[in-house]
Amino acid sequence: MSAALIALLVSVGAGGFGSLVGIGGGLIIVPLLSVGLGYDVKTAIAASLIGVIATSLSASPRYIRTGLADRRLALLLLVAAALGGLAGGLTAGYLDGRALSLLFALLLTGVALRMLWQIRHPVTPLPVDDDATGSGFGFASTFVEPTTGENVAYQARRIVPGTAVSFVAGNISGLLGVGGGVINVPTMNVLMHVPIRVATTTSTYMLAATAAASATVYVVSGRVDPMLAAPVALGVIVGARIGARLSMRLSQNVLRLAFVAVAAVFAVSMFAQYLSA
Amino acid sequence: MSARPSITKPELKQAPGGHTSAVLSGGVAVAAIAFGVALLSEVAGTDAGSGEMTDLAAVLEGLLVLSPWAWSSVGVYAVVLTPVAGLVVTAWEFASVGDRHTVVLALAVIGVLMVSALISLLR
Repeated sequence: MSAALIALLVSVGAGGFGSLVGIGGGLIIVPLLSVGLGYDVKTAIAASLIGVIATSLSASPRYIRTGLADRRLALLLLVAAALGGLAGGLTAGYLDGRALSLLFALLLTGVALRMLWQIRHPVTPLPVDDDATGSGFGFASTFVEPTTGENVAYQARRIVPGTAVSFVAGNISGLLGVGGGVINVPTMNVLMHVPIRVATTTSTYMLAATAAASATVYVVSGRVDPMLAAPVALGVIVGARIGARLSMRLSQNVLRLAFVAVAAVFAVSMFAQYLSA
Repeated sequence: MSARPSITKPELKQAPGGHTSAVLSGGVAVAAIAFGVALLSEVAGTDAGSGEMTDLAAVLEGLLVLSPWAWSSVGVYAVVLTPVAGLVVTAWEFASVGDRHTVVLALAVIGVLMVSALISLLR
């Protein structure tokens, strides 16, 4: 089987899973291309970035049309994360990557345990303030839960801490080598009390914008191999469409469990990074 | 999670996202077609071609001879440029429903991402 065909087939799975849980799929694509198929890590990361954008672009139209992706909240967090990314270039030299890896691993472990606890003890929806509207900065919204047809109202809480976390996440993500999704989803769900359904779809929507900025740099500096990006992107486009459809049939608890698995993998990876540094 | 009908006011709903969805779907379709042509062309044994993606003249030349490299490059461009187009249309959609705060946020995202990319390139 040729490398392109392997990349295409695995990318179908990466796009499908990525669009389900709100991560880009780089967690699967980068190791496959670098360790599995022997590509240079930077070339693998560049192809993966194209794949992450394609995952987001492929799944987001469905999430936007069905009102599941909260674009207003996404834009607020994107501004913070992008500003954090800008500041990251200035602060990177002062941060201890090893200590951050340990801190991030511990945080992710806490997030995973908290999400597991939520399955047995679901969070009671917080009441929406009377003056909260769709305009301004109330960040209240509604969505129809696809598995039950129930109309669910929610209001994002702790806007300032949530925005601050996004800023810090944007700041340190480059240093830790983690993408946005693994931070976006718990920030929205655990910290801001946004339903997991909305957190995962909104995160998927956000990924295209954040990855596009990095991908532009890779394209202009000639580090994208279009012949490798083609099978990866084509695979995730197909996979993400399947994932977005499948997502509508899965309960919020299943989505939560899937994300817990992702958080656990990232936590182990961060512990390994801490120990090997 | 139970619904609370008393708080599901119409103004809590998001701005219509039909145009953004259409732009994102269109970008994906263009990319998928370009990548598909590239892979089929490669399977057919066409000379892959090579060059710098930033050399647009070489990309255009390659498109005419069905070079897999050139068609893949077009797919990559479609993927990278579509999110920006989506953000512009999102800003326009929110402007059309009078949500100025969100328009400012959308424009801020575009601005910060462009500055961020520019700074990275200048390093």
